[in-house]
Amino acid sequence: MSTLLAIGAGIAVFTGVGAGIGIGVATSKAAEAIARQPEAESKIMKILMLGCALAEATAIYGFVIALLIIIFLK
Amino acid sequence: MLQFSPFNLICIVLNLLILLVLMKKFLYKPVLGVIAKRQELLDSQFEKAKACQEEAQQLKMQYESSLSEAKEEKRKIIREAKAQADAEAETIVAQAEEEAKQIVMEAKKTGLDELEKAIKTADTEITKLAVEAASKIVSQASCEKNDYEIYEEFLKKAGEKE
Amino acid sequence: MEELNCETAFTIPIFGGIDVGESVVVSWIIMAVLVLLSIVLTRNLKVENPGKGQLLLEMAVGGLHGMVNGMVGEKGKRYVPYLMTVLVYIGFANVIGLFGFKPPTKDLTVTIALAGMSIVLIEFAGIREKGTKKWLKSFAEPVAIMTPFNILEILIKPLSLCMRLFGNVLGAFVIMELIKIMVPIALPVPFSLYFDIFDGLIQAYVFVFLTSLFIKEAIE
Repeated sequence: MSTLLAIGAGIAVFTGVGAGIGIGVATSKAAEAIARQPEAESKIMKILMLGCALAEATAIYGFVIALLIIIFLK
Repeated sequence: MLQFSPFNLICIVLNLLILLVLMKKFLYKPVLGVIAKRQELLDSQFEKAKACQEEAQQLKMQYESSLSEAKEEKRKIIREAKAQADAEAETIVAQAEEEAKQIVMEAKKTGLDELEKAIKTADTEITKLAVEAASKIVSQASCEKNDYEIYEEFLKKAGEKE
Repeated sequence: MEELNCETAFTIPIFGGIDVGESVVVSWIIMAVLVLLSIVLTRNLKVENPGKGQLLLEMAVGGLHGMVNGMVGEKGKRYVPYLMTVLVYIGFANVIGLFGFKPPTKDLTVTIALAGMSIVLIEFAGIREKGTKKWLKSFAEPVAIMTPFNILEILIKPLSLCMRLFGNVLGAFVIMELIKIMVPIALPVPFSLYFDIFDGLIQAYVFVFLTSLFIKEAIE
């Protein structure tokens, strides 16, 4: 049972892959944008922050689900 | 960690509201008030400085205009004085010339007069001498004195007279 | 696992005992520290010739004010003090782990309270700006079919806010504990810098940023 729980939690945490890819893409685009328009850096940083926070939320949801699996199904 | 208690929730909400009121009273209001006041002060000072500068500019312009006026006046005065001096000098020169001319003329006139007079006196002398010589010649016709001697004597006398 | 639990600090002996959570007590400590700091720092503010400390304080408060004001827009000026307070509170709550307290934001109750207040404020701002009728109508925009999704959004927005904050702080806490168990010397320092200070402040900023974004959306 506990092995299955661990496997389930691990799969839930796999959502982090999506968040990682998303944040990576967003950051690369932001770097490009800043290189192209250095004067708009503060605005770009703001939008990047927002995008990162939203993308990161996915990973966090996976993490929370993993915790729920471990705690409530134990 | 995942437990949920309504009482704690209410506590947290109340805590936050109290914190909001306290922070508003003790932090935001005084600090932002001070910032706003400083801004106001700065604005007023800026305004004042601007007014001062404007006034200074005006004064400067006034001074400049008065200065240029004074310069103009100075130039005018100098010009006038020069003109006056020139005129005076001209009149003086003209007068002097006139005088000189007069003097020269007078001198010429007196010279001529004198010459005339001298010529006249010389004439009379010469005639007198001539007469004298004639009379002498006449009186001394018998004398051994020849014509030559008489002529010499005449010349000598005339030279003396001259 | 014991470290993860939020223990009951004490129990009020009425109505059969009401448990007061640890997070509430830590919140009180944060409040006390914040208010005392404010009182001490703003003791003698001067309009002319401010000292270095005053300038620093002014820069911090003015910068915070300007930042939040820029996020929420000109129309939402009245919500700036609340947002600033939440920002400072969450920031302190995330960083307080450095001083040996358990961060209150690690308690789900706290983040639910914060997210609930945020959604109440967002909807209140919408009602105040548009009037009840228009506010109700705005659920059917852009097309009537979207209505259930729009209503669902009222639930989703605070859920996402609360879970993001909670998950981040908890995740950082768990990682820090694991690192402390593995290598208790020297190594935790840079990780602590990132997870406790940088991440905590970023999460506070993100929480307030999203809340102000939703408010801006609601009043425009």
